[in-house]
Amino acid sequence: MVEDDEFTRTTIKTALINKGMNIVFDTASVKDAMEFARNNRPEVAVLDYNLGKGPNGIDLANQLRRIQPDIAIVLLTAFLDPSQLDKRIAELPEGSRYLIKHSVTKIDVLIEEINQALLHSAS
Amino acid sequence: MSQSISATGRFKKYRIDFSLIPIGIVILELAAFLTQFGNKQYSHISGLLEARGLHALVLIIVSSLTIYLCKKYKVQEFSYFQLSLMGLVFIGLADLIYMFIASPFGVSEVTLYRRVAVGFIQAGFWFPLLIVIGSRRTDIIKYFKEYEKNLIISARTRNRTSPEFKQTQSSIESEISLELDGVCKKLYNSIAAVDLESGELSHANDEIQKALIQHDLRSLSVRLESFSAEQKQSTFLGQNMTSVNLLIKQFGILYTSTLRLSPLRARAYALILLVLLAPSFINSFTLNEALIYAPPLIISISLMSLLIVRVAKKGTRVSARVVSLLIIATGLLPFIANQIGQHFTSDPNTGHPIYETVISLPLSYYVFMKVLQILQVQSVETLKKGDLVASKALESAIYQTVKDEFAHALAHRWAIYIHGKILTRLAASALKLEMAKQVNDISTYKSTVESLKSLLSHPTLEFDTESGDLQSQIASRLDPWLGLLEVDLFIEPSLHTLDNHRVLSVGEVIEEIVSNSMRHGKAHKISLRVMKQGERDIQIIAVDDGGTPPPEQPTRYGLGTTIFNLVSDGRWSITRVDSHTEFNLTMSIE
Repeated sequence: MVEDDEFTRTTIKTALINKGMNIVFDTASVKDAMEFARNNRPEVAVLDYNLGKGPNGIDLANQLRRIQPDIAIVLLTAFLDPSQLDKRIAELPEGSRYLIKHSVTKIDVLIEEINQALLHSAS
Repeated sequence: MSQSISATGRFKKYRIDFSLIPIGIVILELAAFLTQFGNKQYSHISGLLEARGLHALVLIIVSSLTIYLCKKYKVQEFSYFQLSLMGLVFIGLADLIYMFIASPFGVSEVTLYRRVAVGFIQAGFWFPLLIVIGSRRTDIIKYFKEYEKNLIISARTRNRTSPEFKQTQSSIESEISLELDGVCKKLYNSIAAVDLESGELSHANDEIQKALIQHDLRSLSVRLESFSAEQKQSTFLGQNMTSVNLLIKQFGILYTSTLRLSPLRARAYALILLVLLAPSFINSFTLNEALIYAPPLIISISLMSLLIVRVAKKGTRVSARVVSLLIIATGLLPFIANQIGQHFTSDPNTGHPIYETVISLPLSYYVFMKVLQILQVQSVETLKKGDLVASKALESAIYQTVKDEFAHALAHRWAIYIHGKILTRLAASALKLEMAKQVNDISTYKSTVESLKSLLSHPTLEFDTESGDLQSQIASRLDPWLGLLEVDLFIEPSLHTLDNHRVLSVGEVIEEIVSNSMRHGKAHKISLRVMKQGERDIQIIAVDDGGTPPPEQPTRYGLGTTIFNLVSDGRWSITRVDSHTEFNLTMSIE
């Protein structure tokens, strides 16, 4: 899980763990995320769109897919329509899901998206 | 004449480009048509039109053949004298052809000796002049472009550093900040109004979640982002502004500058009026009349020309205006001479219509001299930075552009901040509140609400306005990219500790360069060099191995372009060299 805001990262992580998910790695750093993915091949990556200065979630998603083509990706964004924010949302790797952060209030919605992403990456 | 206009000389050889010949032929035909029309040398206007049209067509065919032969035998360089000779042959041939065409169409011709005299003027002056200036057009355009670039850079710098602009900057900043404060305050009030002490956590949570879903913050963020992404279809004040546009806005100032730095010679002022005047003289005056009129007229025109150049050399704005008046006055000399002459000769043939002597001739002379003066544009190379004065219209357009660029870049930063920090925190808080409610953890619930209220009371607190020194600013921009892109960085040691308000701009440029390289160029490796250039500037050079070439100049707009233009005052470029893309930007560090 990659999210630059520590409060948000910890909150979502705790909610997912409470629902029985195994969060193998969480970080604010793109570099650390890439290194972890290279060495551990996680099943799913939950990425924030806005990672502060530097690359955004789409950049990271594309690079993750490059090194691990079967990784499932869920992108979190604060926008209702992320394409308003970045036209490149269309460049998200195939099968990726994006989710408005506010819907994460119901953590089951995020879990459903993770399952959908896994399903798409498997097919 | 050949030496009266700079860059022309009797023995100097010119590399000739004949591509303007067809235009010259059309102008020539038009002038001849107007003369014949004015002198009523036709039985039917349609006959005159057809005759001139046919003549133009024949001349274009003849000239095309000549151009073809010159190209085939690689004859490309001619002296002014050779051009005049060529002009004489060409004009002679044209006249011969017209002799055969004219009478079947009912058009009468003037006498042979008059035609020969006019032919000499055309061949000795207009023909070589048109070809020489036409051949120099690439150089002239190059100088215009250079002048345009320097002018815009200078006006941008002046505007960006002006107290007026600084005031506008603060007002745009506080406008956005106030709006964010207002929206957050409203949300704060909604949350603060919820009673957490009643013990009904479920009801309180419903109220807070409802408040958190509100769209005002999202709307503000979207609005700011849409504004920052507004693309300008016209790159008018980028580096793509055409010289024609510039010339229109800048004509007066460019004229004054060239007049001061490189005034035309007195001979040019005299000769041009004489050659403009000569055809009507030749066509209307008898030899005796010409001998009476010409000497005093030539002397007075020459004296006025000397006076014009003398005033021009003073180089002030007032002197430029006086020169304009003197040109008009000189252009009116033939009218005065004509009025006086009529008292002596009373020849109706020489009593030219007033519109010709009072309006048409002085005006053509005035425009011609101004344009010819502007063509000395190479002289603006010697202008110092502070002398590059933009016209009021251009200055105001540049100010508006710089202001818009600043507003667009700032709106983008705020939009990113609102959705990246505030909306994210709100969403995470909503989740945390929901989880606390489910397990009825009142303590966590209350502390989360307090954190929320604290965020909403000071929403701008974490907006990044601090830059630090140059080295740490660049490092903070590059670090997040490590792992995705290989970066080779060199910063000149003397710049490491640079710490002023421009450092944040360097960081923004670096961020844009790297993201463009990766996102658009699909680069894997980038080399960045930040070096000092002179006392006041730094140069940033980036070379990446991106496989996708950068877009062509006219399509380069968008936020990246806005930031680069704003930061560098337009001094940046992208070029493709072999399999690499090279980006170059120069910016002031003051």
